[in-house]
Amino acid sequence: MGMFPQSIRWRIQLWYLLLLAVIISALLVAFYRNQREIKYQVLDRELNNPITRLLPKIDRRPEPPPRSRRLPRPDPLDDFGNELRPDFEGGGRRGPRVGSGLNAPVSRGLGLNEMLDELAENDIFVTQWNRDGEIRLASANAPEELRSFPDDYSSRGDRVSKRTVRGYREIIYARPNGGFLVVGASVEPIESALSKLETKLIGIGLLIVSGGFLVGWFLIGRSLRPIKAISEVAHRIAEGDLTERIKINGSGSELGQLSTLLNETFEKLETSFEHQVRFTADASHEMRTPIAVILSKSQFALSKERSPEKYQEALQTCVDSAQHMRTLTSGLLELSKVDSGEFHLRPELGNLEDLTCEVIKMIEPLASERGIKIKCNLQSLKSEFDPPKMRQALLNLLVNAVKYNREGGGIEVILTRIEAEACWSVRDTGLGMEEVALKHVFERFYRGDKARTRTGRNGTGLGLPITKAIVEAHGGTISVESEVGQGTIFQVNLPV
Amino acid sequence: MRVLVVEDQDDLREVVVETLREESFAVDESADGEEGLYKALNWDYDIVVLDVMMPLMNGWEVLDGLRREKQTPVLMLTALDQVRDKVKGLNHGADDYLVKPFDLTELVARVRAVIRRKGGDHRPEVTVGKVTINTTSKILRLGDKKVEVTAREFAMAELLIKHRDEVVTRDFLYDHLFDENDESMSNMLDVYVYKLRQKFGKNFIKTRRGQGYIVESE
Repeated sequence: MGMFPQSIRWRIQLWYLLLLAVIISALLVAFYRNQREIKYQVLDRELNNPITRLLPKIDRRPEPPPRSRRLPRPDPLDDFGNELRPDFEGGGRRGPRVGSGLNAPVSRGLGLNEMLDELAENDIFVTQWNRDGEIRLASANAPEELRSFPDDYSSRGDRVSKRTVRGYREIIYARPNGGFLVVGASVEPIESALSKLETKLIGIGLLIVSGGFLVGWFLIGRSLRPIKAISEVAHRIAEGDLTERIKINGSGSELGQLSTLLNETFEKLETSFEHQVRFTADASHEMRTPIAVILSKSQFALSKERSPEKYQEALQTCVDSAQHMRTLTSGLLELSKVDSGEFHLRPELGNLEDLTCEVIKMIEPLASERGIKIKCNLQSLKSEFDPPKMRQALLNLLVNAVKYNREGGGIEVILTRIEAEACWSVRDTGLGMEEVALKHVFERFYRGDKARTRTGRNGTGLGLPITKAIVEAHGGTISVESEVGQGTIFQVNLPV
Repeated sequence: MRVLVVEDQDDLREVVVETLREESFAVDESADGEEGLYKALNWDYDIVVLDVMMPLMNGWEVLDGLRREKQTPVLMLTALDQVRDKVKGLNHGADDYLVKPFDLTELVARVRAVIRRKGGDHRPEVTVGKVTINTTSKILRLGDKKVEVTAREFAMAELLIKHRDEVVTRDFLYDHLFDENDESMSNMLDVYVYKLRQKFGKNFIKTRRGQGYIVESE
């Protein structure tokens, strides 16, 4: 067995074979026993047959006078019990009897010796013993080894008994006078037939089991094929080809269901992997671009003698890029804290109105630079929150509202309490966003095409994802509505 | 040589454009893919320097759009440095690939190499008659003597030598020597031809009346 139990196929196969072998051998053994019994019954009947005709002839023989203590009964046949009657009475009814030793009508008129000869032709022998164990009569073919009185004859109380001894089957009739009449025959032909049968049955058994092995191998292989296919696909996926899917034949079966489930899992895996790949690509792009600017701008400046203005401009560009990288790096760090679960809040009791005012003051210079007016409608609201983080979240929303607004536009900030929630809404009169952009607006590095072309390097594409993470860390929700050309409303709900 | 630079990052595009101009290329620029593709389809540039991640239309789309109609050499400029991306770029029909951040000198060298390859010339130095041009060191020699030339003069000599034994039309010269912002009059061409003839001999550039100019290798 060694390696076999590792394989499901072999395990099923071995159990299946074991079961098959047990069932087949039980059936064959039962069949064999049945055959054996039938053969012995037939033999017994054959041995029984001649008795009714033999007895009168034997009884007619003179008994040795001195030994007999009892007188024979008037009707000795009664002594043989019911078993013999049918044979005796129904001479005419005895139609063809398979295997019967003698035909009564023929033998009826024969003498004892002729009868014995005839029986001998059928390999049936007859012996008669008197009560003292002396042999009175023996057919010529009676085997030598049985010609001495077997001790156990006398111990038999039954009137008719059967036994098999030393390869002979004997029917022993206890006579009323204490003697025994024995009709017997060799069981050798039966046993040899049975042993032939045995060989045949073993052959058949082996044939069935090996046939079963092949069929089982094929069937198990067939039913395991989907599993093999599944594992091959899983293997390819493990090697990195995430587009692989299991081909499903019949989704109703257990394996079909498993395949469907696995395919769904692979789908999710692929999506999250793609997400990851895109994030990495985006992050790498965002980080490399400012480096590329710094590198090439400084190389350009240094490549030859240039005017002081050129140097100044180059340095300014480098500083801007470095600052952009700083914002980007801290944003990425913040988000990686969110991802790894290390984004901890330090909540304090405070007033959300004060916080909002503070943020609006911070943004006002930037807004007035572009002629944007900020309107607010704030309600005093006490709550527990992490002030620096919440400030950052609000600031991000307001920076966006300024950045994507038109010149001279407006921003409206509302803070109200609705049931157990504080609700901010920040509305701008800017470009608005299309349906497609709305879906992705909270994704990292996502910037609508318009946002990209318009703001150049200013945006990191991390502001809204960070805002969302902060709001969610506070147990709140953030949503967005927008109409192209009309403006955008961000709504933040925070449990109070 | 006329180059188109398509890059959405303003600072980076600026510095690439300035550098290439200093290297005596005529340079056009685009801040997004759509405009970039439009320009690339409507002018015969000697090379397009193309960024991959851009709004409106990314570099791959621009490249596909361009390759459907033209075989203009393309050098991809991108922040993606995975082998998969490089292979993708080259399979899409890009002629070369440069990963950000890059060295400006490498960018210039690759731009020149791609242009040379497209012209069937793999050597940076070509000799026509007595005139030898080295596009890498940007030196023109008459015999063994180095001749001082201006950037524009060098660019014209380079263009004519690249297309030696072909008649080069005035329009072609104009298109490849001046960028979209250049307001030089086309008679500036005559000035450069005159100056090159002054420096390299009358027979260096021959005029084919009504057709254009030719530099013959024998």
